[in-house]
Amino acid sequence: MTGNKNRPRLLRSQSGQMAMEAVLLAVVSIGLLGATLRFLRDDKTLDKLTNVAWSGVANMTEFGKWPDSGPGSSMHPNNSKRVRTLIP
Amino acid sequence: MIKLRKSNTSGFVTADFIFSFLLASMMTTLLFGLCFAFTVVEISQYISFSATRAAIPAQKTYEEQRARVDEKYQQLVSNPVIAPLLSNGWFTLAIRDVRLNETPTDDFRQEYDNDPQILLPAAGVRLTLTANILNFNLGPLGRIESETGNGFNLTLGTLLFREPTQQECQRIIQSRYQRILNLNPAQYPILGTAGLSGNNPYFPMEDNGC
Repeated sequence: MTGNKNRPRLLRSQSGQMAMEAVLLAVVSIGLLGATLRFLRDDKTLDKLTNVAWSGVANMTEFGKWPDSGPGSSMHPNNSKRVRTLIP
Repeated sequence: MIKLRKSNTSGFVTADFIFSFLLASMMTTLLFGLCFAFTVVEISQYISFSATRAAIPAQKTYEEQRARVDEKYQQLVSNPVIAPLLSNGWFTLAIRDVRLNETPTDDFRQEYDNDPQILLPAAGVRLTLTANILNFNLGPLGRIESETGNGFNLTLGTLLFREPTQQECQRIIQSRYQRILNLNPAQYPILGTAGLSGNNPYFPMEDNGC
């Protein structure tokens, strides 16, 4: 009889709900962070970001062209056709 | 008191803040490194151009033109504003090669001219820049590695047309003058070849501006 009286009170108790939700949210947050870090590491996103930028600049400083203009030395301005004119 | 503890949510976002801060710090470090590297590329490009520009004006000899490259390069890399950038280990800058048309192959045609019909004996200076600053280890995000596997290197080249030296100019004029004399040796006995073989400090020659 005493047990029957206490049961509804236990179910109605709201204490600890916040703690439970905090734990769940922390698990989700850590999971998301882990997944993001793993993706960035496996996909080499930052590696690509750095290398694409660097190789573009390297191509420009040596050959005077961005890499998408064509492969390396063939695009150097030394290969440009020149026109001679007598009219200033 | 119990009521207060239940509704207290302070510190709830601490974990989120730490993670965000970690990610943002790593990204900021990387972007800072890239910005710094590209700024130094610009500065090095100017050093390359300036060293080449110092070499191309006419001097007495090739050696003097070549010496101007080192002189200008050293002057710029030891500048109090630039020197700390290049001496703290973040970057390495060095002269790769200097080609001033001293011999028929002393130019950059082999590297940059693909069309044999085009003859462009440009002279210049090439520098090599290595950005050690970009060799990051970003912890959980992994290590940044160059595509080539031997570091973040690039070549900075400046190609210009060199003015001939006084030595070259006199050699050409002497050769030209000799050919004029050879047109009819009987008709130019007085002009002769005195001085052309180096046996006389004075010899007749057109005013050539050498």
